[in-house]
Amino acid sequence: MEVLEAYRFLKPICELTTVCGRTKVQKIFYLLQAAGYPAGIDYFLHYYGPYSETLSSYLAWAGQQDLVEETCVTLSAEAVRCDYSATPEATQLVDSLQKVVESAEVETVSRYCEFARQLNKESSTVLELAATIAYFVRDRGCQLSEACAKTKTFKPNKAKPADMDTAKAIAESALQFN
Amino acid sequence: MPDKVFCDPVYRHIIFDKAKDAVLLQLLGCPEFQRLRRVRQLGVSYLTYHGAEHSRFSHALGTCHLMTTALDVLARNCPHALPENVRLASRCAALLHDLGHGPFSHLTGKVCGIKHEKVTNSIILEDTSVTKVLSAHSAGFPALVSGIFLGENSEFQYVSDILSSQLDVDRMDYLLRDAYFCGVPYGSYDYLRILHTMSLEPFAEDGLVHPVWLTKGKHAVEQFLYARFYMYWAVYYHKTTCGFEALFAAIMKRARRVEEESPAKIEFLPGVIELVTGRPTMSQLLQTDDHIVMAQISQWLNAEDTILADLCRRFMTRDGFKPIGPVIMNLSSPDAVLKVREFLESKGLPYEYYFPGKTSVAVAYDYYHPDKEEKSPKTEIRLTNGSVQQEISRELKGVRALIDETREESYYYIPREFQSEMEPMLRPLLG
Repeated sequence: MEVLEAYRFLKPICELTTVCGRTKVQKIFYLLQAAGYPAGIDYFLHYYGPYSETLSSYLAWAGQQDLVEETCVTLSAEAVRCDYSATPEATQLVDSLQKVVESAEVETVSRYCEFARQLNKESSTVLELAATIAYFVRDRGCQLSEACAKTKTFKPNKAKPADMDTAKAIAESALQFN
Repeated sequence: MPDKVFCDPVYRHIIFDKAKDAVLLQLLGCPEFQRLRRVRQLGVSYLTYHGAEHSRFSHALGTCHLMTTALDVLARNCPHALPENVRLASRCAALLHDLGHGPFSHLTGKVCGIKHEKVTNSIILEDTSVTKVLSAHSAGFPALVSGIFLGENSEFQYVSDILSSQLDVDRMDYLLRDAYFCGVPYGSYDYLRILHTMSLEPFAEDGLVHPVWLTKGKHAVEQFLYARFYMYWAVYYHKTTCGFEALFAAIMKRARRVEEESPAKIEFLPGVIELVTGRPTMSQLLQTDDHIVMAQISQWLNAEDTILADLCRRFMTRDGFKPIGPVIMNLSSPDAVLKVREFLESKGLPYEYYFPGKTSVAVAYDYYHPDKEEKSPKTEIRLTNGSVQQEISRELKGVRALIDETREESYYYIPREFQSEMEPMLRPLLG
């Protein structure tokens, strides 16, 4: 990974103490990007909403380099949730990378990290819905109301009214971030 | 009425029935489709593999051909009867699926932010020659084609899967075609075996019908996944090609800077300014193709801005950047990068154009590990023995090995003439 890519990927991870679940990591980065974060990661619409193979590989790389610690929790016989947190080595690397990143870039990234912290407080389901709504608007050219309707059809079991309201507000704030 | 026959280097002949396939043949004649003849399938790969001059036009024809073959097989083998209009819509979706690509295909997608699926969908649904042909067939036909293209028609989800999933006719065609034109043997596999061992079954997770493969087809599927893996590293992410992509990105970036700071110093051909400065609209994008962009780069050889002119000269004369790597990110990386930047600045070459870095991530088969939290019908290739479905990596060790294979590789690129001075500076980054 080159320096700017590494900085843009690792800095938000370092800022979030722990992200519970791979779905949350994926959706937080998607919503950041929908908000204008220049991560340059490519996504496609997956069964669980927008998903990036690139981000998945970045996470695997960070794990191999001991920059991110993966802790898997068994939820049931079928389900395991993996939580991610940055190691002290990651923080050290990010500090070192900051030497070569333009100060405007550092400021921009910090602004988005604050947004990432807000997103991390939400449940995985809400982020999944919010990212899917944002995907339909941003990548498919739908209006917000149409995107919400499509999300309900796409995720009939998860799109509960209260969660959809929160998700819509998050998607809207991401899309209007700049 | 006689058939319309296209000679094709991959399948020998692609045949359309002039009466029954009239809609498809009319689509072929639309300007939006003919434009694909002027969009190279593999962007700037022709600078690495000289044969890679083939276009999105031939790939679109090939994808439609494989979709037709797949639907014919399923009609014979499976009880899920496909209504004739859905069958036709599926073939149209396959034919049209890449209409929204910008010049040099995925390259301008990355550099100029073009979302080709979104543009393709607009071409299908908005006021274009394509929409007119589809609407003339029946009023709801453009929406039916769009629904299949976007995977939003759950009743016929499996047709969308055949067009776009981990093992689909799009990938099947481009692997065979790209390997043929690049002159590499890695992309070949037994595509007919794959199509003839495809079946349909409902998945418990979503209750929808998806494609599955009979156990006897497993080695052909494995061969396909390996072909994909080899093609990624040998062709799509070849370090030289990535260097020319980085050079192209630098040209666009410099042109944008000149346009912002001194617009009088730069001229644009129609449609190019929108490519350079932001996401173009559908109609602006349709004005552009590889020829326009190459003409633009030729014009900028004489640009007043010396950096832009120099970058364009490097592109036109194939004087690409020298790749250094693969590099590994570590604590000494920033210092090495700073040294290189200072050196380039001392030569009057701004590092943001003359020292790009590029990371490639190649995933031949990405699925959520079944023992982890997410399991997905969309990303799994499943085998069936008629009563039990099994995700393919559970059956084949070779596929498991592929999943664990390295996925990420990064290079820095430097001006070739300073290799002897710059390479030692970057040594701490080499693995």
